[in-house]
Amino acid sequence: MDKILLDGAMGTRLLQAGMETGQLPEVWGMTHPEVLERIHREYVEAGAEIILADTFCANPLKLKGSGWEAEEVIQSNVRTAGKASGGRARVALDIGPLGKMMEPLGDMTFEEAYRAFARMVRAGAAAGADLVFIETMSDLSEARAAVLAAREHSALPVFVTMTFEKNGRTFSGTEAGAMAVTLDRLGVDALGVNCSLGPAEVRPVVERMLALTDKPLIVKPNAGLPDPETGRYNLDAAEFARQMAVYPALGVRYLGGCCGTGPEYISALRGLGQVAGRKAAARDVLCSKSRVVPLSGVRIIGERINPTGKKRFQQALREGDLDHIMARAVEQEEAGADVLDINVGLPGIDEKRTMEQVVRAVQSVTDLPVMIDSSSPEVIEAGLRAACGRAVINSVNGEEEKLRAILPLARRYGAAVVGLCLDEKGLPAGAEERLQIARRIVSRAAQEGLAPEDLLIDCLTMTAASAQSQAMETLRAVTRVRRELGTHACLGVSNISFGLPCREILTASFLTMAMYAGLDMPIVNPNRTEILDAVACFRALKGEDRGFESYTRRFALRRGQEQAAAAAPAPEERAEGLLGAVLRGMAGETERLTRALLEDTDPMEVVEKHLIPALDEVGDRYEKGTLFLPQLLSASSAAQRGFAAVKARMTESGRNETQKGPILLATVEGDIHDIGKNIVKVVLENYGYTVVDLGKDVPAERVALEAARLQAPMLGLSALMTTTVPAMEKTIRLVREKCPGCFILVGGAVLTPEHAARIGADAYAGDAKAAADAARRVLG
Amino acid sequence: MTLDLTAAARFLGCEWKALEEGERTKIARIGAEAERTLRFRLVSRLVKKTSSGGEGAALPGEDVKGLLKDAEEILFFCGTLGEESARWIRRRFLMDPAEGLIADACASALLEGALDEWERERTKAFRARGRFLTDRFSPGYGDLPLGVQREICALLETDRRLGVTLTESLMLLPEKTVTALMGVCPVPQPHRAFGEGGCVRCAAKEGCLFRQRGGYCHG
Ligand code: B12
Repeated sequence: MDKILLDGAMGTRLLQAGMETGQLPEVWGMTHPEVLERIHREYVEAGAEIILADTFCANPLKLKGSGWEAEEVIQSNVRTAGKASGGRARVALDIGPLGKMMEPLGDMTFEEAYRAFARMVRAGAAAGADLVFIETMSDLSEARAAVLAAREHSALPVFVTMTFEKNGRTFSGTEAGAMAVTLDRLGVDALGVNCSLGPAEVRPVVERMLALTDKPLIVKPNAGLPDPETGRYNLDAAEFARQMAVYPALGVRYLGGCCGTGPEYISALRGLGQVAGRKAAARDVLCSKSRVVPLSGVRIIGERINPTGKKRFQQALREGDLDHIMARAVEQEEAGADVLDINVGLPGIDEKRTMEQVVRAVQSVTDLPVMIDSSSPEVIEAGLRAACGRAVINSVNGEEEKLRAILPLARRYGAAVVGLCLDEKGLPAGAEERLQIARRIVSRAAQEGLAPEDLLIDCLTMTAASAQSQAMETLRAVTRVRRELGTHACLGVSNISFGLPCREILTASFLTMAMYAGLDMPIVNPNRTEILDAVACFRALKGEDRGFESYTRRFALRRGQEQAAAAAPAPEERAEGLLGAVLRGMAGETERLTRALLEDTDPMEVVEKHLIPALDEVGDRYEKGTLFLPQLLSASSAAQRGFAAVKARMTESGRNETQKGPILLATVEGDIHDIGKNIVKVVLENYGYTVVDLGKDVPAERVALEAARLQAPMLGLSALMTTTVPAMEKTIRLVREKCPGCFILVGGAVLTPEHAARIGADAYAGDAKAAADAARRVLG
Repeated sequence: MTLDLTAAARFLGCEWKALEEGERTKIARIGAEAERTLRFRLVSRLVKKTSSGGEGAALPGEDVKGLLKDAEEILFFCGTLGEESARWIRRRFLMDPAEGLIADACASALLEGALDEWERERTKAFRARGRFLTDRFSPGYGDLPLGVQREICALLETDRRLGVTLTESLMLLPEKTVTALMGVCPVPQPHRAFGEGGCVRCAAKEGCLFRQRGGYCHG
């Protein structure tokens, strides 16, 4: 196969041609079309078969304030490139990053990015571009937004390259392999690496991509590495070409240059050899933006992000408390989950929007691929658009209507899909009937272009207590599905033990049997020790866990802990111990002792006689200065664990406790300094107040809205910079309008009591203790 | 990259010396994790000083004028702990707020420490060429407006070379990021922390927890 040459740097050439630093190259190019045309022509004459129009930054965000619209710049610069090419080279609409960070860590929404890219794509297509070249991307979510915009607003081929560091990741943590999998499955036409480093240094990145995609690859690196002081790149054209020679030999098809390269570099690439054939890539994987999970061996799907039967989780969904949900995600990842199922189905909420928010929130704190779990195709599509990486759909079944609605989504977004062995007629009793449904799903999926390994067939677990023979029937079906259809098998196992005593033991045993029968993707609660123990044992005995390595790691500490727990404390020791445990910040110990007390003591008494006095003691010592902040903090989290145990007991027995608050906290818009505010939060919680933390850089409108919505009796605002004091003033004004009864307390190093009064606050507090005192005065 | 635990304690509002053994161990443990997990990256650029500031970035304000009075060139830089730091801190918070706070303070201390280290190394390198560096100074300090970050970020191409962007409200993202400058001078330069140009002119001096304890923020 012939290699295809791309062009080299544009910015560098424009600077050489007289553009000044600080000017937008796209605008300069548009106002100097003859220079631009000459530069393009030089590349075409050097051998470039695809040239990138001068449109890298021609997006509405970067052009803001320039006096130009994206459409004008794109039209002009694409045309100039076309003129220079004269039919000798294809012209690409060049799309670079928008220069803002994506939510939830940044301030740009997916829709905002998508809209900006869509405008560029429409303008580029209208101006006659032959393809869309998305390059220098650092965040895979942003690259996805650009790809979807390109696909949905034009019929042009889409190429994507990202820029990586030596460790094979981008600045935003996107891993090269995960990028290849995600974009491959999203249907781009070619993908690869640009900018980053020199040709030799990007090799590991390219090899990683070769292993995970069969798409044509692109390598467009810099002319080596820049001198830190002068910024000059260290490779000349001949050396650049020498280092590039390996890529066609590895099977890379598109070759070009980025920063520091010029026409002579492209011309030097002409002499490189033919493009070699490639080995087939591994396709049976899932991924997030930062991690690829190969589907070989047993993979654990965590089921905890689901409101069914969980009061606290339902409350979190209703209140939009993403922290609670994110904590469940991190917890499962730390426990050993490989994939996270996400289900937010709850009557009365906007499931579609919630799904998007939860998927993004979860992926912002974990590395795990997600499984989008909903009965509504609309919600599934929303989840798939939001999910970065290669996700799984949960689920389709044998019903034609379902298959017709869901399978095209799997194809369009490159997702794997769970197929349940039931249909219009319900759940069949025998293994043979289940297999028939599975077979139908597999063949319908094949018509949509999905391979067997893209499917996770769920043979469905029945409750053993009510249908004892079904346990073996399910397992027989699992074995046959795996053997005869070559799909994966998933199964929610906990249902098996419903209504029976010691459920965990039965569930774990069934899980072991199911894994032996061929189950490779169990859907379980990874926080249950017995369950993950069963998986660890299975992996070890099956030989997946070579030399019992993870087994040993998992169980090495277990004996000591069990012995400590077995030595149960005497009753009077327990109360004593609880105070000590809280004071010393021993969270696990506090929880254990609280549980022990709850065995024979009323929950309210545990709170009033034990936990609150322990906290009072902590507060006293803190005020006297014999206890320092970190101790207070750990004492606080220890006490929280005690409270959580009490709460759990009370919810079990249907009681609700009263809490003081809520106190709303926020660091004002424009400020990121939030350590002080966070300290105030933890201390207030320690004193028993419910705190709703809106975070940092919070717009005035949002604070006012939340204050009104929650009818918050108290609000704490923080500002650490003089520049953000006006934002604080504005916030106070708005809150006064929207929530007149709210007591407003302010703090932060740039404020004084006088300042505070001047901007209309009710009080000022110099540190966290003063904040707690103020809360006590206001809320009791 | 090594972390100064006493600085981390300072960001938590307490004195390292006064902490109990258990607390020290905890901060040290999370600090070690920060050292292992987080990576510091920096880009810099040396430009000529002009009548209005530096080539490519105007620098209004009396404070910076005083700081740079002997300077012939200006070294602009931006250092960051990257997006990974935000994720790491967030995770710590979700699992345990107390540990989250410590993680946040450790990351800030790590960033400051890494900047100090780079500053020392640059000072030495310039000394070898007979040049002297001023203290480092950031947009937002004294009367140097935050807005100059726009030009500094553009000059340094922080988005492409570092993954650092500015919000509309002039915040740097990821959060654990600092932009700053130093003057390059032919004559030795004084340190200004407590004197003219230091805390005296600092916006935060009234409520500053560090000053209340007789120290300063090293910021
Ligand atoms: C740590 C720090 C940082 C960290 C951020 C850590 C974080 N996530 O919060 C880093 C290194 C990243 C940083 C960066 C910057 N910083 Co800074 N930073 C500081 C520093 C040194 C300490 C702040 C701190 O954490 N103190 C410890 C905590 C415990 O104290 P506290 O915040 O004051 O909180 C206590 C009380 O004030 C009160 N309190 C606080 N909030 C509230 C709220 C309520 C409701 C109540 C009741 C009480 C209360 O209780 C708290 C606990 O007791 C200050 C200097 C200072 N003297 O304060 C500069 C400072 C705030 N930073 C400053 C600047 C300019 C910046 C940058 C813009 C510099 C730059 N150009 O790069 C960047 C911005 C980065 C970005 N992403 O946009 C300036 C602001 C100047 C101004 N105009 O007002 C300061 C004052 C430094 C200076 N000497 O000028 N910074």
